[in-house]
Amino acid sequence: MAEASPRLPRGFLAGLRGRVGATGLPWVSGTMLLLVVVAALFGEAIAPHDPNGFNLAAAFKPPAWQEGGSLAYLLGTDNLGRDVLSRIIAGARVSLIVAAYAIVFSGVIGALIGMISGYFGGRVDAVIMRLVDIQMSIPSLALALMIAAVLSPSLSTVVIVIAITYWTWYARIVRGEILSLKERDYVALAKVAGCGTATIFHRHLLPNVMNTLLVLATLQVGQVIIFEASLSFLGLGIQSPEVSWGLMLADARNYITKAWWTITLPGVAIMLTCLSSNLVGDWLRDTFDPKRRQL
Amino acid sequence: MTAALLEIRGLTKHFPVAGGLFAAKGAVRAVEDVSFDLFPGDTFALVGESGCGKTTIAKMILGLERPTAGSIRFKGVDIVNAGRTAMLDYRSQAQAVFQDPYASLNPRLKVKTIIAEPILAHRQERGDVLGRKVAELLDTVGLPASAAELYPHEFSGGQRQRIAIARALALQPRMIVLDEPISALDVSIRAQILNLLADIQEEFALTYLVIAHDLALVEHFSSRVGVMYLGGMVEYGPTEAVYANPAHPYTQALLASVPRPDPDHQPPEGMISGEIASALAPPPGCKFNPRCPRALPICASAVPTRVSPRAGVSHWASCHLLSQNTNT
Amino acid sequence: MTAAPTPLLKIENLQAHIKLRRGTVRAVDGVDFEIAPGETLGLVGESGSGKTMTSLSILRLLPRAGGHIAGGKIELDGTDLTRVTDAVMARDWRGSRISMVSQDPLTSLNPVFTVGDQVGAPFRYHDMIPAGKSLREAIVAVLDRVRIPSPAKRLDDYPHQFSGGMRQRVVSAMAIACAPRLLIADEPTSNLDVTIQVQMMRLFRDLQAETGMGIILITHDLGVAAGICHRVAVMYAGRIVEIGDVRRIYRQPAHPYTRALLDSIPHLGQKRRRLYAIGGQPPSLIDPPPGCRFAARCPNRMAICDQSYPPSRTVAPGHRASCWLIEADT
Repeated sequence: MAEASPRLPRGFLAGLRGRVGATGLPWVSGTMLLLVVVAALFGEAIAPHDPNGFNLAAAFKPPAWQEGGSLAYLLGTDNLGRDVLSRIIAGARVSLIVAAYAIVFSGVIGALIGMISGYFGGRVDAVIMRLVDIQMSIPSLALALMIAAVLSPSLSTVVIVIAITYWTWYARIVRGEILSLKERDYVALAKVAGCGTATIFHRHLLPNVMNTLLVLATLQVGQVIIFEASLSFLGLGIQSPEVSWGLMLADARNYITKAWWTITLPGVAIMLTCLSSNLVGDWLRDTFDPKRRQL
Repeated sequence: MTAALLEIRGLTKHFPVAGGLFAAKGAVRAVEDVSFDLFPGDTFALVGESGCGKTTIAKMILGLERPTAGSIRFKGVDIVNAGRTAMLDYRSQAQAVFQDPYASLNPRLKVKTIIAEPILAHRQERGDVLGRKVAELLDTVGLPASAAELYPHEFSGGQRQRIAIARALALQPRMIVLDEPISALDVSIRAQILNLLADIQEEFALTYLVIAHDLALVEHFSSRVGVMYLGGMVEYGPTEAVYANPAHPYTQALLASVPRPDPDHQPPEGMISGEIASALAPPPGCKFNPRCPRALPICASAVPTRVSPRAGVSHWASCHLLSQNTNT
Repeated sequence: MTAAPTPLLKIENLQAHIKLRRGTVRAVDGVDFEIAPGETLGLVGESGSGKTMTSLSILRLLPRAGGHIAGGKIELDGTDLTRVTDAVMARDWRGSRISMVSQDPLTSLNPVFTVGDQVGAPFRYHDMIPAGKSLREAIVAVLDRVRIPSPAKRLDDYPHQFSGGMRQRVVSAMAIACAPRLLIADEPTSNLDVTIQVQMMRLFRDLQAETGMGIILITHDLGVAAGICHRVAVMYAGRIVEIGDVRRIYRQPAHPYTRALLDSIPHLGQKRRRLYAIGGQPPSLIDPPPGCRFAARCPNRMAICDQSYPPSRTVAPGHRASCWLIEADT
């Protein structure tokens, strides 16, 4: 039968396995991201202290490596004596929950609208794209403020705000992919075979769009976390007693000179999470780039 | 006279240019008033060069484009305005094989899903029965049953085209539209696929509509031929008749220009000049007239009618020269 | 027809390899041929036969990622091009003494530069504006030679304003601007309509008659090759399996592959018959079989064919083929 052609991977996981050889795993960023996920999942078990445990006597303890610090509070304490490390770990959970929900909602809504717009074209496409244009011309923070003013600040508000802000991004990109995908011969042949629109969507269009969607989603994690932090910083998002990195930044605003670790370390956590998710997203995109298929 | 399987009358397709929310600024006249019949068991070839409209005609016949005007009737049933059930029924009888074997198969689907797709779309069979049908089809096209579990990228171009043919056969159609079925394949593989197509045509009593630009291939493979130029059909007839006595100057020029594996053959000069005009602004009158070596004054103003060079044979050409000769 | 005493181009045992992850592809695996001045040699074969790689080797334009000339000599007018540095190659040879016309006129021209700019480029890079003419005059002259109507006006037009056939002429103008000794035409008419193809091939023939340049015509279309080639070399799996005068190749092909190829294509004027289909696939070039590479698909296969590769033997003066069926040279 066929002489052995190169074993190209099929399916997403097999795809990863098959192509790791070509690009190499993103060891550093992957591990960092993994740490954040672990912190989010098992936070309560690994945090050395209660994130909300007040202890005014232990307020403003510097990180362990500085003079005056102690190993009990590795990263120091804030103005209320709460352990910074424990709060960072607790904050990871909130950040990832928000990111997960927001990305799933905006991704699903955006992708669906993008697919409909791209596939049907004509009036439908024109109307949807104008809506997208209109929404994208409103600064996202202003939009967030408007929505948050209506809803009371909470975790769900943050998720809703982010979903509403970001769906347009997915819609645009997915629409672009669909525009070229729907011209493929195999889509035309599926129509000739008698397949209905729904079948074409789920058998031919969606799987070929999935890769792009996944890459987009990973690249968005960082953006979403920063956005959430901004909202919480402004008081529109997470409220005490819940912990969020943005909230930590807000609380520590007044103590920058006195206790640098209370604001810098949560900031570093945000930066590292954002950076590692971007790097993993880049790696995913490069790995799935069809031009890398040979050689 | 047997009833035609497919009747095309006055088929026209204009693509608006600069469309969108505002009115079209102009139109590409891709197909203009084309009529022909396809009889059961025929292999009818539509030939022509780029921009002649043959692919657009194929798409309209397959229901992938909507005609601007004209009718398409399959077994007497109107296809253009067909409702969902009628269309689905038509689709179970009219299938297609396209040119590019690398683009015809969804790279993410297993071969068995690809081949079974038409059957699944018509909800005809499932499970084991489906599996057996797929194995049968693979055997018909000369591939082993184990191919069903593999993905397209594990096959060569010729093998992929076989898979595409297996899919086209899945619903036991009456008619298959073949759009340049071998031109993207390696030369030494082409004959394999051509022979396969000839074999299955005989075995399953199929009718073929072939889109091709290779005139030698068309002579070998088809029983009837229609020559297209810039959206219109300029000549039509049984292959032997058209090739032996091409009536239209364009057909003559085409046949003369075909490269032959004969070092002593030189195409005669002066049969055709210049370039193909744009379909946005085709020349008035006979569209071939600016390039025709024997154009008459009337050719630039009036569209020629169909004339048969010899009575009794369904072979005609649209040319003023013929009307003159045969004295209407 | 025997080669002229001083061949224009002499290729000896050329080997070009491409390194891939899964192995090294021996794309050109020992190719020998000569071209005399004013001669057109057709390199005929299918995809993967090595014909494009051979031409890229002559131009020293093998893909940077993994492509390299692994051995052999390429002598043009006496200079071994395999020994020339890339800088000298670009300065003195490519575009001036050797040039190329490739398959797709759409991508051969840069859409953001005028045709005049692009045709003028070889003149400028190689500092070869003909004496007594301005650059503009030289460009108009060469556009005229490739039969572009109203060249002085069309100088300032962009590629998209030309049809496919016209674009291919523009590319040809770029190729002949500096009076090359050798022109490599890689499937120059595959993307053109048949009626335009005829005009293009005539143009090449006439240009050759005017300038005396050698032409390598690479094609998979046996009909096109028959039209303008003086000699034809048939390539299969990285090697030349048959080479000779065009009439002999088409009328008395000696190699089973050539014969099979000629039998497998429909010829105009032949009665409707079943085409001869060559079974199987070409072999892998990463690990080619030790014997004749066509053996697995050959209707005349013998035991020795699988064991060792047949040497090139003389069928008639100037006509050689590598097949065990042919009697050994005495």
